[in-house]
Amino acid sequence: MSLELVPHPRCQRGLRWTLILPEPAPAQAAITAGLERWFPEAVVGFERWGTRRVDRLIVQFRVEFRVGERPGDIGLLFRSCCAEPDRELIRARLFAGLAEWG
Amino acid sequence: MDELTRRLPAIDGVGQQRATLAGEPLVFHCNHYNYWIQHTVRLDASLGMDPVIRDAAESCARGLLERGRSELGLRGPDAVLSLARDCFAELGFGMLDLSKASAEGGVVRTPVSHYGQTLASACSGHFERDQNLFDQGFAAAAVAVAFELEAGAFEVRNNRCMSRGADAGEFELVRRAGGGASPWPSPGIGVLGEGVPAARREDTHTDEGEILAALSGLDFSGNEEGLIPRFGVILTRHFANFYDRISFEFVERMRGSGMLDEAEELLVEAGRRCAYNTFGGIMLSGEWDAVIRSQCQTREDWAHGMVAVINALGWGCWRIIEIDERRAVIRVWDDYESTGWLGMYGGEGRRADRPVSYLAAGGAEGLMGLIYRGGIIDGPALDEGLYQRSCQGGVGYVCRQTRSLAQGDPYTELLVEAIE
Repeated sequence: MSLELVPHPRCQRGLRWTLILPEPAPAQAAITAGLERWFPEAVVGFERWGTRRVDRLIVQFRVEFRVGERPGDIGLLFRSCCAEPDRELIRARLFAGLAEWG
Repeated sequence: MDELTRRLPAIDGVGQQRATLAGEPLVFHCNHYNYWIQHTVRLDASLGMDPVIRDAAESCARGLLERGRSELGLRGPDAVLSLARDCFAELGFGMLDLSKASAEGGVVRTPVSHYGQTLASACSGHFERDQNLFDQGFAAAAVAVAFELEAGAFEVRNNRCMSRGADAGEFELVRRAGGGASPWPSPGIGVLGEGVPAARREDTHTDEGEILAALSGLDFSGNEEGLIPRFGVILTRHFANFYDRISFEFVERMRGSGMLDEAEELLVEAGRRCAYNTFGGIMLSGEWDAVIRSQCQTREDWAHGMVAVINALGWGCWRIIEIDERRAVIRVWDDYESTGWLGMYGGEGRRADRPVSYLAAGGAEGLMGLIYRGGIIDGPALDEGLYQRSCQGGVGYVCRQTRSLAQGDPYTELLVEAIE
């Protein structure tokens, strides 16, 4: 699976990234379920943006994943107190999980 | 999550699209505006604005915490310190560690700080001065209220701020020799207008009620580390009276130097920067795409859609009366600058001798610049170059405040015209 992790255009000095999944991207529910498996310590919730549902998975004081903001994207919002070595570990866990999907 | 355990007073809706927390009016503003307004009022160090900023934070926080303590029926210092920590995080200011505080003061830490950490991404270069004056004032209020001390009981020493490279914010509160002094008490909501907002225009495809309902489903509380990342910026749900106090005091001190017009223009510039970054960030966001974009068929619809969002920010009730590429007329009921001015200075029927809605004026210029000069509909990068081409003073649009609630009119009116 070819993956592209790009800084948000206004990433606030590295806090905000977007992981773009290749087409055809898995369904939103499958992405969220995958993240729950790979980050079982995450607190899971969601928001309604009008008719759109955005799933939020929060690994406290480290990172928040948002699924459903835009189709085929996973938003990553690192917490400011999550140091770069920790961010690297999180990216590695995420990529290892996604690799399960081939 | 941490915020699930926060115990807070209720947020109340008052006036026209205004909100208070334990009687203190709140407005949303982002790290860009927080940088620009603070940068502006501190431009001339000889004006002595640092104590004004710190005192404004202390007075607003004191009002919130005193009324919040009463509203929640809290007893004892620990409960008040906990309330202070929770409010600080909920409103997006960061994490406040008051565990070493006593009636004599003590060391306060801010391991996460909006002012210490997020203003850097709004500016180029490095800070020569600490940015965490607000944190100092808030903490001073927290400890004073917790131990039932007078306002101004503490002075700050040995400050370390993340904006200048410290690992965490840290400062020491020390009892002020000779007792406290409170030169300026926060006036709470101030004086609301009596005018009734105009009806919404019917020649737009946007539905403000639907937009406001959708926005009410979004989480605007501070996350577990006390920050509010949203719309590509870092928001705070801040004290309206804090902005009012530092703006008006800056104007007053500049008036004394004979540079009143320049001072007002600088505050309008801060408003343009706010609009460019916050409105721009909102109009490029996934939230906009999901909720509002589908309602927009014309550039004017984008303006109406953005004004609907503004009406969720606590700034007052905005209505577009006229709009095209050449000019716009926007009226604002209960704009927070006017209500704050009247609350602070409007005793015995006194009215302002000049309009005071600098943020609203700059915001209206920025909105027009983004839509008609900046091509926001096409999704541009919000960089400094685009700002200079579309929104900067003297380039895009210029706003005159043709009516002012602070001067006795029923609403504030903004006439925004294109610069040819």
